[in-house]
Amino acid sequence: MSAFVVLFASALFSFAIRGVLIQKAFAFSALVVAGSLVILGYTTPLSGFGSNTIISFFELIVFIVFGAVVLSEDETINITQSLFIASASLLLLESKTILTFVISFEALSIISFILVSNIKNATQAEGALKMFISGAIATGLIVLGLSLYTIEGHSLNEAISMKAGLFGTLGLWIILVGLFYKLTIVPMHGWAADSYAQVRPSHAAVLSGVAKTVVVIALFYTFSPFILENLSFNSPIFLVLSVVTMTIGNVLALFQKKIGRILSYSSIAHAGYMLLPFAVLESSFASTGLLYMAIAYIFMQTALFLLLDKLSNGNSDMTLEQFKGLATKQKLSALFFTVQLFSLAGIPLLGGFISKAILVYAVVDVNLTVVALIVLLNSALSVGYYAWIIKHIYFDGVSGENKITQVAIMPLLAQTILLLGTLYFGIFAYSVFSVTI
Amino acid sequence: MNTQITALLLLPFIGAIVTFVVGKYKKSLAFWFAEIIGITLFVLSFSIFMSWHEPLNFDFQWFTFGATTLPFGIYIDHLSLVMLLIATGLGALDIHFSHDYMAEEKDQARYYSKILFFIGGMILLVSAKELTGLFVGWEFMGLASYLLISFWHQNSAPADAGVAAFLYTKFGDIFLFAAIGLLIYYTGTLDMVKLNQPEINGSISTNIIYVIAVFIFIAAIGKSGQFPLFPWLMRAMEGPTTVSALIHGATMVNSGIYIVARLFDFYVAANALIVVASIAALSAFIGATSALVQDEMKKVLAYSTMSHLSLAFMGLGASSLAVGMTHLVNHAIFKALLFLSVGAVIMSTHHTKDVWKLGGLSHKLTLVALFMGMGILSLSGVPPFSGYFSKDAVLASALLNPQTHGFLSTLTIIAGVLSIAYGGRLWTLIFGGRVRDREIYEKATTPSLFWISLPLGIMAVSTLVLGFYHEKVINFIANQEYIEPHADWLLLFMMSAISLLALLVYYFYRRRYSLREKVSAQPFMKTIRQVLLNGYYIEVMITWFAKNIMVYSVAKSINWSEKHIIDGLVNGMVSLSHKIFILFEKTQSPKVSNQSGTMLLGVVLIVMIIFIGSVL
Repeated sequence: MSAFVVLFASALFSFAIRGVLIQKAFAFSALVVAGSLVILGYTTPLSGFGSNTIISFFELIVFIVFGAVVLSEDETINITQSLFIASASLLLLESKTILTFVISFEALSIISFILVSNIKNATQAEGALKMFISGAIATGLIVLGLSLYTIEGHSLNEAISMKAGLFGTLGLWIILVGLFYKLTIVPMHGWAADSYAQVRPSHAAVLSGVAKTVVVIALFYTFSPFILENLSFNSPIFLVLSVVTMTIGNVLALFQKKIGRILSYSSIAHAGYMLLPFAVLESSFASTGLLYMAIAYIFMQTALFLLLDKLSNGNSDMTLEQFKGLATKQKLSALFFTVQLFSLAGIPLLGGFISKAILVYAVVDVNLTVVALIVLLNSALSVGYYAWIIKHIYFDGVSGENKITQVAIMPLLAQTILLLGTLYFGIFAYSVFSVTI
Repeated sequence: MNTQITALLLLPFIGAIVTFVVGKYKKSLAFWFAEIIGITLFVLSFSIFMSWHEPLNFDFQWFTFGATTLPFGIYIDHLSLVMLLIATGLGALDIHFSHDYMAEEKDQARYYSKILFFIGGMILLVSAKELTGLFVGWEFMGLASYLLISFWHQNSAPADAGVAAFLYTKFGDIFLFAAIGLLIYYTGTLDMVKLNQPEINGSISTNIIYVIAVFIFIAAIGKSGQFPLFPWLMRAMEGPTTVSALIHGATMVNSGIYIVARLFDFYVAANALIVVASIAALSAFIGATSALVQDEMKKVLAYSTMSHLSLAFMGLGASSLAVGMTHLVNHAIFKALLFLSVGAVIMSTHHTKDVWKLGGLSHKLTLVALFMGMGILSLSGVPPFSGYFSKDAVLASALLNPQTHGFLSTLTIIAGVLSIAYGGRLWTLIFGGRVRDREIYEKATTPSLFWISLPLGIMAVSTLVLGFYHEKVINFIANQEYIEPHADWLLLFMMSAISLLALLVYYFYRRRYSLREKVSAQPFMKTIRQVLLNGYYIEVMITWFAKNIMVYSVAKSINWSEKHIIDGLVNGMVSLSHKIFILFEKTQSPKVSNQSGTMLLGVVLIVMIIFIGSVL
């Protein structure tokens, strides 16, 4: 019995379950069981996979967030896909060799495509298609990279070789570029800006909230030996990509009119933040910074997209205008939305603040003061558009074309879980430090 | 950690939430939950007190980051225990008293949950090991105080009073925060026990340690209502009387004294005790004289609180830690008694606060009159009440300490003996003499024996009994055999002054009532009365300063530059960022072919970089 088996079996079995409520309960308990198995150390019983404290800790976080997703969903098919994605995430996080990493990554991508293919209108179809085409190109790149890597005689069935020559380096970098597609790093971000804003927000929650963080954590622990080996060469590339990504994400988010778009650009900007630890790997705070960033981000981004899904009734075209006066109608939802936005903006006592603080600390640690300054400026810039949403929620009267739907009790429960996560990791920072340091 | 202490720290906060939720469900349940939790807290503190024989020390960390650790330890020694007993004991009695006092209140849940939250903050403050924990408790209490003063926020006066209290105390808190920063920078520790040790406080320059000590004392001034940050304490009387009794009479206002007592050796090393003594003497005098002429019952007590807290500060300032703290303990009990007695009077006379509308109430409120009389005697320093012993010791230590001997000790002694004058006046006007307002007198109800008179009785007996155990109390607080300072002629002087003043009050307010009116009609006396009534116009001065200097001069000029210079820049930034946005937006194309093309371009670029990099 192991966490992966439980998740995968329950995902298969959940096809057979009819009623949404029963399926929710089933999926939730499957996640709970899987979580307890991870705590007990029974993770994935396949060769090429393995776990450690940090990975197990992060897996638990992912399961908690999936628990919230499952509570919030109201379509059986989406709950089933969530379970599949959870099991694929487990595999990806635990993969030890390049082969298992790529296969798990592809599994995750393919289930994501299936998830977003549950379309209701033309906009969603466009978003899903864009994601699919970009994903296909990315897969092509990854396979190209793999073949270049094997030219030098490296085996795929072991961890990354430290002695990569020109072709090996080139191959690994092409794999990285392919993976950057999922991470939405500029210039691989084009699809995400559209897709996240066009697919159903609850799907965007899984894609941009969970899948992205899982990929970035797995990427970090799989590729960091390779990056560290030739850091003086690799670090500048990561640094440039990271700074460009966060700047473009933040600037483009500034004047958007749709909430989904603001969130998707903010997600791109956060991908930029999450790329920074790769560039400052020699700092002992890099892994803490990344893990903290991932944990804080997974809670806030998932919460925002899930809540947006409920408030807009699955409509991805919600504009700021339509969001006016949310606070007068639904105090609780407005509160959840605001706190998570504050966390994204980096207000103290919330998860987003400490994660950014550690990141800046790590950057300063390796004497990249200018980059730290750019991060802080970006962060300041981002407060602009987050505050703009909050202004619409609290300080504007209800507009005539208000289409906000009432949020039911289950999604609010899910939001409470995610809010507690944001608050917990904003106050009890020690729980993360104790895992990594 | 010890289960008892964990429960003591967490129960009030859990209780506050539970009480609120339960109280929203059914109104009457809020009181019972609060009462049970209040009594449990007292029992817990008492059992810790009984089993205590050495300081309990538990180290925790809020978080560690790099070289910086923010500690959050728990440390319970004799000082903490005394404060714990006061906070939980008086808290429980206060909650019990509230059953009748707040009976007509609709929002019971909110009231009791705030009270429990306050007690939680106080417990956290006194059991903190480091300044971090203390600061959190300090701010919790500040918040609770603000929330409870403005409990009747539907009316403008309580709401404004709450804001005033928040601003005045927050002004002091900024200095506490700055002191914490300075301490981390210069000593690297926030542990209050370590700060008292010479190897820490001797390692930094005396100037810096002096500045830190004064900064902390400014925060204490704000919290304990000392000169010049006391006006909020007077306005805080807009809150419910039970709140005034607990927060603004007995517990929260003591926290300023507690922090100085906790860092006593630090203050000694900083040579800052003379600052404490000077402010204390001045505040004691201002408080005692202003209390003489107040018309509103609660304001008399508020000024008297200020004056008596100053006496406790004076004890510390005259380098007698145990004396100051003992006076704090005694004061907490009799001041809670006095406030609650006045609360009982206010309640039975249907919210009459003006002392001139009362009179002759001793026939109707015999028990309250008796208990309040005991409180007044203790306040005035009449033996064998506990107030006498500690006040005598404070005055004696002020006299015998060469630093405070002279002007400061004179001010203190005047303030000390004046207690009988305002206390006696208050009692006489409420209970003695003729009935001034027949209608109010007729309508006055007799308070309940169990809910009102019982807590008053417990406190009255405590203030009497503690007098007999004075030596034990002071030895416990000093944690050793304590020989208190003593001046032989002081007892004689105090007794004669007290009797003289008591006679004067009797003559003035009871016997020759008309004389009082004649005297107060004199222009000179009228001016003095006005000055005293307005608390030496300190609030007016602070407001004037804040308004004319800060708002009209400084803030207006900053506003001008903000409007014309900063705004210009900011507006420029907006249009600039909009231009950048438009520029960047061109990179985003909705066409899949363009998106894919960009992706491939990125690949080509990176491949090129790697080739160039490896060739170089």
